[in-house]
Amino acid sequence: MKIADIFTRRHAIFLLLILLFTGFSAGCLGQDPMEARVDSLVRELGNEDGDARLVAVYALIDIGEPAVPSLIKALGDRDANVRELSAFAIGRIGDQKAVEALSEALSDPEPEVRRSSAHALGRIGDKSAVEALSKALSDPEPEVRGSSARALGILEAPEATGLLIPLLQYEDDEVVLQEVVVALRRLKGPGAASALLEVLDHENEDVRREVVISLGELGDPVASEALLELFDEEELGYTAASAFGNLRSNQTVEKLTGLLDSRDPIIRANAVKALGNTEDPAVIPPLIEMLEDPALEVRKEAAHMLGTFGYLEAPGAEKAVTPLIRALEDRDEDVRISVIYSLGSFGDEEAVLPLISLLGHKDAAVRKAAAYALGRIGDPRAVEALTERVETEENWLERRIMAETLIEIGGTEAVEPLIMLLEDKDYRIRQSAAMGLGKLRATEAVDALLEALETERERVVRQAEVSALGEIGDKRAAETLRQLSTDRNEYRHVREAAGEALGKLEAKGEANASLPPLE
Amino acid sequence: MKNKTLITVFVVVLALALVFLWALEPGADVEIVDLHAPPIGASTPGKLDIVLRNNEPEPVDIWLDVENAFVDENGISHPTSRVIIPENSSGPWDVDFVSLQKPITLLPGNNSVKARLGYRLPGEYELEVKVSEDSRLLDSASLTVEVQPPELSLKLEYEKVSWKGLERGNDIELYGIYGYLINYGPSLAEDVCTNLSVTEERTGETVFTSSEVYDVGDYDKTTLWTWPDYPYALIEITRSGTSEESYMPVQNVIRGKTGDVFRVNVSSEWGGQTVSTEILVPTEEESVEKSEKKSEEEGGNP
Repeated sequence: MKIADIFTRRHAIFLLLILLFTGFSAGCLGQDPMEARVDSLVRELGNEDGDARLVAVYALIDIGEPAVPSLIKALGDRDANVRELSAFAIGRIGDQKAVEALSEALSDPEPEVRRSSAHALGRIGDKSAVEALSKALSDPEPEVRGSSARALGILEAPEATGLLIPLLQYEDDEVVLQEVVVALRRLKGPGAASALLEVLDHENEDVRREVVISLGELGDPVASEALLELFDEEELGYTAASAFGNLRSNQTVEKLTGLLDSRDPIIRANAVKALGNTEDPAVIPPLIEMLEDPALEVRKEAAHMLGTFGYLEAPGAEKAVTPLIRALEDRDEDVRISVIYSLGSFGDEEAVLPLISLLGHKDAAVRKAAAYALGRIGDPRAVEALTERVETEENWLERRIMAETLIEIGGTEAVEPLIMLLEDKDYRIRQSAAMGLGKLRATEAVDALLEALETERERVVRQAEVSALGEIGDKRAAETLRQLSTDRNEYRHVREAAGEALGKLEAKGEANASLPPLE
Repeated sequence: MKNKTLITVFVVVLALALVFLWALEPGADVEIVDLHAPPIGASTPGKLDIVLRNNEPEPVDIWLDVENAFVDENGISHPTSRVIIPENSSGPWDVDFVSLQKPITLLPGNNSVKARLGYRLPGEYELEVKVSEDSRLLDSASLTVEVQPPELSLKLEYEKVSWKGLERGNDIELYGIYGYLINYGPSLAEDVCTNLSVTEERTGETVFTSSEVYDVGDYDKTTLWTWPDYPYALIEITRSGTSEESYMPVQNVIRGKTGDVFRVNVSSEWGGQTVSTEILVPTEEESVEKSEKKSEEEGGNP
């Protein structure tokens, strides 16, 4: 009997369909669910809806390493969106298995895919991508060249310096050029500083700024003369002065001190800044002298830089205090403000009375600077004057600065004025006062805080008062805190703060209970 | 013909048997032993505690699906994307946030997993948790989560206040009205429409109305005033019944003359829930006292 006799054409088609269905079903059921999920998400990368693509790409990133084989495969997809997002996802996952495929994708016909691939190679950080990324530096699309340069910088492959240096001469896109400069800065390779000097006169200010910053970070003394020449530039001079301080040269201080005699005030001001950046205590005396400079920008910079030595507690820095106090009489207000802030950095008692007298100055910026400096010094002699300012000043922000200075000074002298401020007309001052009393752990403020809680309506103030009671940790507050922590008519934040405060109080009580009784 | 039909039926049965044999093969012995969701409110984050027991002697990788974990204001359901697996530590931050895009490894014995929940509106939601292994459903369980609505309440209080720059001695009396919208429920109430209505007590005439929208969080309260340190409304009582004071930034200003008493009513409405409260300002006693004083000053009898 022939097969044709058993099966008609209709039977054969039916059987074929059944076999196909069986195979398909078995395939579906047998497929790894992870693989199935990844494949479905990869397909979504080509969705027309941008949000759906975004959800899919982040889900794939979430899956991580198990998604990488499918993503590598997707780098060859027909849809450019799928290829671009696959490269992006691989970069975020950071799997080195994909380096070869991503390197090949740097030759993709679509620039977005090439850019995304270069970016991903930078993120993965595998040095075997250097060759492919180097080739991509001659890509026709600036975005691809820029991403490749950035990636090479991140890879920190020494050989990349030699590839990037020639680009400084022929790269015509300013954004790409900046990427090249930044990459050279990261690579810190030999010859980079000399090559960067060649583009220091570039017509684009942003490129020049990046070059100057890079020269500073490379720290190669070869750049010293070129940087010094920039000191007379209004825009770039300041950046050059900052960069110059980083150069590893024995002659740095000598060269800069020489510039203090320049006739150009911009050069002198930048020289002062660069001297300050050296953090060498030997420059303190010349900086003190510059407080007498005829140009206000020089005096201002000198005051500022002396303040950094005070902050660093550099040996010999205290010599600057008296000249700085004298400089409080400077004819220019900007200089005076700079001097005030600097005096705060020294923490010297000698400055307290002159600074207190400035709390009544007609200019608000001077008053605020004086309050800041007094807070840094922390001398209780300032309490009375600060309290008076909080009471008489109209501007709430300035009043709060004064109140916060009181808190910074602290001590028993500051507590009484802060208690009074719990009744202030402005809720922001009441809030600061309550927070301050908590910070100072002022036990004598407990009754006042409890009383304030009976009438206070503002949530933030109530919260601060409750937290302060918790910080102080006095058991007199326990009952009120217990009531507040369960009061359904209370603000939720206040209720929660009361619960926390009560916890602190109880913990403190337990800690005390564990101590042996006093004899 | 009969042979042909028999062979065809045999092949079809064989094919179907192959497919379903695979599906019927028993999977790992994993079961859901507990589902629990603490009380949750609308628009507030919630969690579902799931206890999964792995009865196998070795770790098992399972897929977890939590359906109806997030439901938006249009009733559209979104699955939860992550679960939280606590580590064996008492530290609250020692948890592992695990993506549901990957299988979860269950250790032998009980495993605790927390899934995030979120519902935009109050109501009952049917949660379904499915545990599967390589497309085989190992266990499933459901739980009804009840999302309670907000429970609103209003509170009004008043006190005599002074006003900066107002120097008219006894000629003017100011009463500051302070109001609170309180929510005793677990759900956030957004856009609560709140109306203020003030009537003169003797005449019954409505002298002032205003409307404002407020939000109040779960188990929280919100002040009805817009500017901190300023009341919700001001009642000014003068001899003449009028004054030029603007009382900015207070928007709700009611002006009356000596002897007037105002009934201040405030009501809020949210999702079919209406609450209201009212107070008299000043109280009848305060008002009579004031009228007597005024008559004395004018030389007449009270």
